[in-house]
Amino acid sequence: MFDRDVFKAVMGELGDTREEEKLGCDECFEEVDRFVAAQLAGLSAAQAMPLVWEHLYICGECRDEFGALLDALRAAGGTSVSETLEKLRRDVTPPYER
Amino acid sequence: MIVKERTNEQWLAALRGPERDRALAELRFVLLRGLRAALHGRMGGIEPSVEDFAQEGLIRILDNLDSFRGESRFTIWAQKIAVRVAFAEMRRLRWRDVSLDEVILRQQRAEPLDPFADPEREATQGMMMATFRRFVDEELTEKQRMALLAAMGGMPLEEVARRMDTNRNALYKVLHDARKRLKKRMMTEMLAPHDVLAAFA
Repeated sequence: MFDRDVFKAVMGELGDTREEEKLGCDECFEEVDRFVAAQLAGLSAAQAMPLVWEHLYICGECRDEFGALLDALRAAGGTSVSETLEKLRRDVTPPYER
Repeated sequence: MIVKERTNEQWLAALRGPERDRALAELRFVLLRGLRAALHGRMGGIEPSVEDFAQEGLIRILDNLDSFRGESRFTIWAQKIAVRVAFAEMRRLRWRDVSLDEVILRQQRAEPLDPFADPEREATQGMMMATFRRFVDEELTEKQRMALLAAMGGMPLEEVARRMDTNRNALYKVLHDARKRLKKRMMTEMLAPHDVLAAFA
């Protein structure tokens, strides 16, 4: 019928679906560098920019690109930057994808 | 290569002024280093090299310099664009010969049975999937159904959107509406998505 992992991801997304999602993929992309910058500045990006967090949490494709962006930035940063970015990755990853 | 430490303003000035060639070489180096890490294990046999992606990213960044608002570090903004360009191209190449119908049909193929699985649990899970499939048919418009099943078949939103003459952002909104309808139906039928998820844990 369905691939089990795909079905589980869809159930997770349905469970997390809100009546209103204010950001689409394009708006999220516009803001995502600020989202990273907030975390690197010592803030909780998820709290500082909850709409970006919400979109990344539910949109697997934007989350994939975001994960790749974090990998790219880690390549240029030191250990502390790496840990900060890893925490950010965990923050936007829903339990059914961990 | 040693990349000179620059403020955002210095990057913009360098890329627009007499230092342009050096700044371009340094930015290309930054993008290349980032993309190598970003695409490691994600290329899946795609032909263009990381160098090609870096070059395409560089062109896109230069075309969009005026839109940089300075609200993050310039290199984060630039890397964001380079990653997006690389992903879009990888997805396009990987899916270029696959039609929407083909990817939707994949959803209708049965998964091979797991010989070690508990038969009762398998039956419950199969029933849940069949019920969900019926909800998809009963609740969604044709456009929503095609988009959802294609996405579940693994086709990236950009590629689904291209085949449906729309764009990724608009398709995301179509899928959001589809998810809301399905969630509402599931809740009405006392089949909360998180409970279904738990049954597959």
